[in-house]
Amino acid sequence: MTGKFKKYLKRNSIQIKIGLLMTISVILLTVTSFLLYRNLSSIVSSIRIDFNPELRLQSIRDISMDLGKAGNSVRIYTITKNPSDIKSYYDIISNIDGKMSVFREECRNDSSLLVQADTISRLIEENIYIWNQLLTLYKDNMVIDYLKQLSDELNVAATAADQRRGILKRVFSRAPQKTTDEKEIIEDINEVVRKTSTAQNELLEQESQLAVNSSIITGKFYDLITKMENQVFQQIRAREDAADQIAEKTFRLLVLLSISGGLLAILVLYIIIRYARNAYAYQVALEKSKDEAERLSRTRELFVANMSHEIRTPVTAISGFTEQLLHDPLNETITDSLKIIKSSSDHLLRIIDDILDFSRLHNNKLTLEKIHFSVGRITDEVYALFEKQARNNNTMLSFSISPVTPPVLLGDPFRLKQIMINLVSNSVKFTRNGSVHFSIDSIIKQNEELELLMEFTDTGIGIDESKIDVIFEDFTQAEMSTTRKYGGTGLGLSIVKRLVELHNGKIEFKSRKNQGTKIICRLPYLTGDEKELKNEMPPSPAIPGRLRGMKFLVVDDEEYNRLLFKKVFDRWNISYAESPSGVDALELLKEERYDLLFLDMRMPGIDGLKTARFIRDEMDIKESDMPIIIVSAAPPDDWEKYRKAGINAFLQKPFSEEKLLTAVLNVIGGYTADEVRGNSAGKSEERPRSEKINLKNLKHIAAGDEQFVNQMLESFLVSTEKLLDEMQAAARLSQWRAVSDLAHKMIPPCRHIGAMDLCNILTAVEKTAGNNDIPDSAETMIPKALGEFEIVRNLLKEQIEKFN
Amino acid sequence: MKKSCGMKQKINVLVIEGDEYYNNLLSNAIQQSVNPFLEKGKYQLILRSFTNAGDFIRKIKSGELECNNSAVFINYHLGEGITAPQVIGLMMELTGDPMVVLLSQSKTVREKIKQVPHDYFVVKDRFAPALCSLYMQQYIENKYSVFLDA
Repeated sequence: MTGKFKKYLKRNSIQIKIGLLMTISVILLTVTSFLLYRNLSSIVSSIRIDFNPELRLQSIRDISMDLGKAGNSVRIYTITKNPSDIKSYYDIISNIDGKMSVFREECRNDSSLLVQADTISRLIEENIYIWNQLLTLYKDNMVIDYLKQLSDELNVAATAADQRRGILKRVFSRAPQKTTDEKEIIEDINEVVRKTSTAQNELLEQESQLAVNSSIITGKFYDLITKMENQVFQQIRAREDAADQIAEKTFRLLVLLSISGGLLAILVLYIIIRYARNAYAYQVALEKSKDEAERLSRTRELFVANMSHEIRTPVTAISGFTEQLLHDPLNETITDSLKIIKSSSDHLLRIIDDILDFSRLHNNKLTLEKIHFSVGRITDEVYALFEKQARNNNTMLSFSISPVTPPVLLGDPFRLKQIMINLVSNSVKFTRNGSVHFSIDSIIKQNEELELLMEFTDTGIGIDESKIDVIFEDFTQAEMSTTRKYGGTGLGLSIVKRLVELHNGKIEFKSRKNQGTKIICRLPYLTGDEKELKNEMPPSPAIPGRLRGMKFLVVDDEEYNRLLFKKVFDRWNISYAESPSGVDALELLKEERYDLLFLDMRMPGIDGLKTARFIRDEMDIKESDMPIIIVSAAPPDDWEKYRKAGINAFLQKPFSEEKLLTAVLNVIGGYTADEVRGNSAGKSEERPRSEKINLKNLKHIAAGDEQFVNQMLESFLVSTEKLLDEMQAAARLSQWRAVSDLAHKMIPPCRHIGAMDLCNILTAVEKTAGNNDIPDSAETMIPKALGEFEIVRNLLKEQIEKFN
Repeated sequence: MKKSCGMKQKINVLVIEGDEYYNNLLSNAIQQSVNPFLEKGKYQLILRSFTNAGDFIRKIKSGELECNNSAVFINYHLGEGITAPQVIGLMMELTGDPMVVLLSQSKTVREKIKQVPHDYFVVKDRFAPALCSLYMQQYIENKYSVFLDA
């Protein structure tokens, strides 16, 4: 468990490291955010407090202002004597108690301020008392003034009455009592006035006392305000200091966290870079390993293919020649020996086939074909292949096809047959004195789809159930003793399994030691069309008469392969030519027409594929004129590629005479020699003007570059004109060797642009001028060449203008 | 040829053909045959063509021209009394083992060049440029193990 955990840690170390660092980063970030939030909140709240007005200060200022207003109100009233002026005074003093209570409440946490507040309250009460007294005095003073005024008015009235009494005294000497009362009143009034005057003096005294009190209160207020302001200022300073400290702390924290974050980021970056570098190194190493593995795989594949080819080639000769010898009348001993040779070579070929197929399956190079085939024919062939061997083993071989199985299927008959052969071969090989039966059944699905159900049952040696799993492995047989006793490569079942997988099918294996084996294969196939079976021509041992008169070309670098063809074609009475290379074959094809070409796939120099492409694309030899059969030890990897190159059929080495004939008949079909050759013979010598040139080759090389074609034509006209001028001059000087050389030089370009008449004339000039005996012919031909060139020039100019 | 990372492998091709038309034709055919390999990005074609063999020989002898050809396409008759065997002999002394394609419009030349080292003989017929292309492609495939059909 610990070991597994360690392995897990090692395998995921980078993910764990990055995950851990990311977790730390997240934690750090969270802590930082929290601390920052807390500190910033402190700063913000202290700022908020600083910005809040000092309520106590405001209250005291308010009270101070109220007292000022009250004093002013009293003073104004003393001057104006207007009752409305004193109204504000009463308003203020009625509210001042409330304000003082609020103030006291605000100062409840500050004892020194509370003492001050008490002092102020006391002073305010004193002030109010004085102001009230003052106002009372003023009211008394008003009465005195009124009485004084009244006394004066009475005095004036008394004097006027005395004057009027002097006159009237005489007339009316009545009412002397009344005058005495008035005097008493006046005297009383004066007494009051005197008393009032005394009170006025007292008022003045009180006024001055009030002023003193007011001054004291004001002073106290200012002291209090100053004190409070100082207190507020100190508080603000204290908060500022606290905010500074928090800010500094925050800054330190931030710096610390930034450094930690930076270090963490560098660490993460370092780990990522190291990881990326390692990953890159691993990738490079992996790519290198992959390339190496692919190279090795290719080399292995190539080796297997080469070996297969190398082994097949002589085996082809052995098998082929043995087969040919078996046609000859020989004595029984030799015939038996030849049959053994044939059987052994066939066996060897099967082993090679297995190895080659295994290699191709291993490299996913094998693709399935889709052709219509007769399933009955395949089962017949498989039965025929093993019937004799089964009989030798005293084993009964049988097969059956269910009536529901369509007679024609669409799929890969070659691979289906291979599966059957491998499985029946195993059954027959491992069954002595028993029976082997294979059956074909079908489960019809929708449309034309069906599941081909094949069962292979034998009563052979079987295998231990515990070993069932290993038998499908490469190069494996159930027991080593099996290989020794029965032989084989151990590839048969491995190939079957891979082929079944290639079909997207299923395979089941049931076996019991010494009791037998049952193998069930399920393969998806399609119902085929009987009409499409036309190419599946049964081989005919008789050589059809239509092949007579045809000429074949055999291209193979191996001499004994060519000899084998020779022997067969000699027996068939068919004429043929042979060539050891693709290059030589091309030279032969330039000279002569052939009805059929056998082309070896692997040749030194130019291989079969390239040769075929050249024949079709450059030499323009059509498939109907000359079909090509590619001959090789192994089927091509990509048949489509070969088909596109113009190859018509494939003949696998080694081939039997029967297979060769089948291949020939498949591509030749029902054509006769004349039909194959077509009607190209006997072309007219006279060429119409439009055929005096043929730019097909030039245009082919130009690959659509019209400018290049134009340049080449202009270059041709200039150089040929110059060379013709030189040739004329040389002819005038009877320098016939030079004339011949110049004609020789002009021929290839003329041939290339298809100016064949001009080419023929120049060839004649070269030949006759080179022969000193007949220079006259050359002399007459030069004007002919000039005339022909004139036609060619006009045609080329037309072409150039057309392009332009 | 040394292989180095990021460096393109040079394919040096020499064309010696006296006729300008045919020289251009061959050069174009060779260029086109090499193009599919050049598209793979690992190769670089250096194509030199001469219509005057004497000029080529002078340049080679004076060291003005480096003789490091991978493939040589040469006409048998080169004018001024010079023939391909002379030039090939000189090149074999100076260069390694190039592919030599000898061209002539006369088939009889085939007999004359039996002792001359060469890989292919091409008759200058209408297939000659295409054959030269084919040989060039096959040469590159064999030498650099790069296959157009793969």
